[in-house]
Amino acid sequence: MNIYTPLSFFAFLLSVYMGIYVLRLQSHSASNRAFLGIAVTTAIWNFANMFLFADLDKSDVLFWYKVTAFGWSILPAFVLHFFLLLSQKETWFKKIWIWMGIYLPAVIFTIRAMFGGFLASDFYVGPGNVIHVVPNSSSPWYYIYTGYLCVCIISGVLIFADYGRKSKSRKVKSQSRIFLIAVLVLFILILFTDLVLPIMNIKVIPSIGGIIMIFWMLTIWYVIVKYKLMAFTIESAANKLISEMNELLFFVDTDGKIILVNNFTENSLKVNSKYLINRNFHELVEESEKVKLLLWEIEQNNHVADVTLHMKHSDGNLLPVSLSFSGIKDKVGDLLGTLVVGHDITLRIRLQNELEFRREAEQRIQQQNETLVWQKEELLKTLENLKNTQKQLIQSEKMASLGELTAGIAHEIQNPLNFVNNFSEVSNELIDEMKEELSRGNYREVVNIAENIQQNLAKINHHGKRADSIVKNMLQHSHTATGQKQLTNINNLCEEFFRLTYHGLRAKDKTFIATMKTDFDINLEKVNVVSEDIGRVVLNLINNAFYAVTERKKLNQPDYEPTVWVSTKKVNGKIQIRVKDNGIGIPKKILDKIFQPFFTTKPTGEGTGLGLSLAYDIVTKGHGGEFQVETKEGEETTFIVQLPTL
Amino acid sequence: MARILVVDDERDIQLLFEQRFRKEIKNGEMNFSFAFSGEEALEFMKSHRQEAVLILSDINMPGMNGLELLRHIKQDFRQPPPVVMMITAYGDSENYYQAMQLGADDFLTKPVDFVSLKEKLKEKLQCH
Repeated sequence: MNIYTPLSFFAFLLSVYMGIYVLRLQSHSASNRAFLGIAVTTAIWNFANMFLFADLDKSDVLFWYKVTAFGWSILPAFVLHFFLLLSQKETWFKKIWIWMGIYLPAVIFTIRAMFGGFLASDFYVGPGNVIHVVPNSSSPWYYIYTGYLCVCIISGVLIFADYGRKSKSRKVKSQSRIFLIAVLVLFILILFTDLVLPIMNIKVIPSIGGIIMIFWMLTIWYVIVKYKLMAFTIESAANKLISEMNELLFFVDTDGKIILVNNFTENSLKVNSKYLINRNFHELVEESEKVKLLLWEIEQNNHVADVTLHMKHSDGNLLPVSLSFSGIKDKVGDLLGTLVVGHDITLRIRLQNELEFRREAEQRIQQQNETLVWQKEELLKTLENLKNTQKQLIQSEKMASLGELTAGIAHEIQNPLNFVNNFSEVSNELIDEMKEELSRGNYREVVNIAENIQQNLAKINHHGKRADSIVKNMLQHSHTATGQKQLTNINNLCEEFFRLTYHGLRAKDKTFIATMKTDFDINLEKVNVVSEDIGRVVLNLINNAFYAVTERKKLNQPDYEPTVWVSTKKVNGKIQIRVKDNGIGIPKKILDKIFQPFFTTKPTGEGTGLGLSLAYDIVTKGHGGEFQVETKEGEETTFIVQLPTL
Repeated sequence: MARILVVDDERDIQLLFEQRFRKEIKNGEMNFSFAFSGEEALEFMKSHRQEAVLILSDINMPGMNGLELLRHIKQDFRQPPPVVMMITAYGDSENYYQAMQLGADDFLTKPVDFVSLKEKLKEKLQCH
């Protein structure tokens, strides 16, 4: 027993295994079949060698040697065939002479080896107790075979090298490189052990070509595993597709049990295939009844697409999927099973939700915009209303002060009118007298009377004008302000409104009595103001002053003399109007409110609450002046208006 | 003959009275004096203490008004008792009662009817 017998046995097993493995990968592929040929011949070679190396009986050895010929004599043909197929030269095999050229010599060599033998002329037991071959170097067959072997291997290698060089695929290039190196190295080794060494009568190792052949096959096997060589087929592509596709995939048999899943399914559902295989498909789906029905109906419908369902995660969560069911039938039409492809629609649903959310948000924003626009319009309307109301209020404030003035004006007009009436009546009488004196010829008296009449007419004219100016003033006051500034005598203005106010109040309240005191700076220059506005300010202040003294009068304090002072003065280049009263004063807590619009201490209906606020605006905004108030509660109040002269 | 003091803040009242009563003045029937404020009237009264005076006063005047003047006169000048007639633009009962309370002898409203005033004055003067 020597080492070569178990090595041959091992090589035999390996070649059988590799042959089956490659055939299983793809039994219909021509290149796989050619490889199977290589594997079978190598297996036979090694199988025979196994006995050859173990047996020392010459006749037995000859028998097993003849069996090995089935291996090595056909092997070159299979190798060449294999390389041609790898180089995609399938079309060559449509021609019969190619087949003949490759396989006919192999058949001839096999037959020759069976009946004549040409590689070995004798056997002997060499060192290591192993059978060695004596080469039949005198036979021409020996050289014909050697040439055939070299041509097959070298031409195959060259064709494949050319194919690898021309290919753009890196995978093919590296495959061809590995093959070339492996084949050349091992081919040389085999030549060496099986042909060169025996011829040179060197007895180090026996003919172990079959064992070396195994390394060659291992190289192919390595390339297949690494590069999936010989698997570029629909089936292998389908397998690859199934394992790498980013869709869930189940194959469900007619009982509803899962018999196949892909990697993506395992990852998506976070379970391994062991858990899934042989499980009822409907168990994996939340809507299990619906799925049962679908699987049952698939026999009739054959295909159901895009059913949105929820698959159960191992952790209990639900995965939204869109499932398509396709029935797979045999040639007779019987259902073999159902292919279920599921698309993870988590993202789609999230996007849909997002879209929905955005649409809602947009709608909400749209609505808010509409509301805003509506509110803005409402506000504008309200503002418009407010402006109108303000105008009306200001007008009514003016009218209210006008009302207060009317009685005063009536009184003021009455005096000049009385004079006009009286002087004209008197003048009439005087003219009668003048006529009398004329008839008497008393010319001196006539001249005297004429002078009187002239004087009266001047008075009539004077008082007529006085009444006229009062009316004009009144009109000026009632008119909507022209806003025109004009040079105005502030003293006259104050005096006029002081009197008008006083008489106005007297007209309203007959019991009203107050001392009016004025102290006007006669050197006051005229100042450029909107006189009707400043008049309104003075009117308002004097009105308030009279109101304050009247209120205090009601307290019946002994020795109380209601008094209102109006004075003017020039202070630091500014004209100062002071309106002082010894009335009830202003309580501190309301002092900061008195200039606010609508603030009034008067009973409802008596004051608009706008007088002081308007006065404040007129002085400060209208004339760039200042407005101050000094008061002692229960004793006195002084309003001070300062107007710039420029 | 009694003197008639007319008190009014309107200065033209003097000219008007002088013309209205020019015949009476010419005849020496009436003797007018004029004051243009309450204060001025009181001064006049002080300087004419012994004279019988008929006072014709406006109520509405700046400074001392007619009613105050009336009060002063009735308090300070008892002998000879002056006749005080009040004239006002406001023919209201309040002023009227107040004037009467203060001892006014008569109450006239503006516009003054000079015909009836003349009669009244003549009547009063005769009483004196």
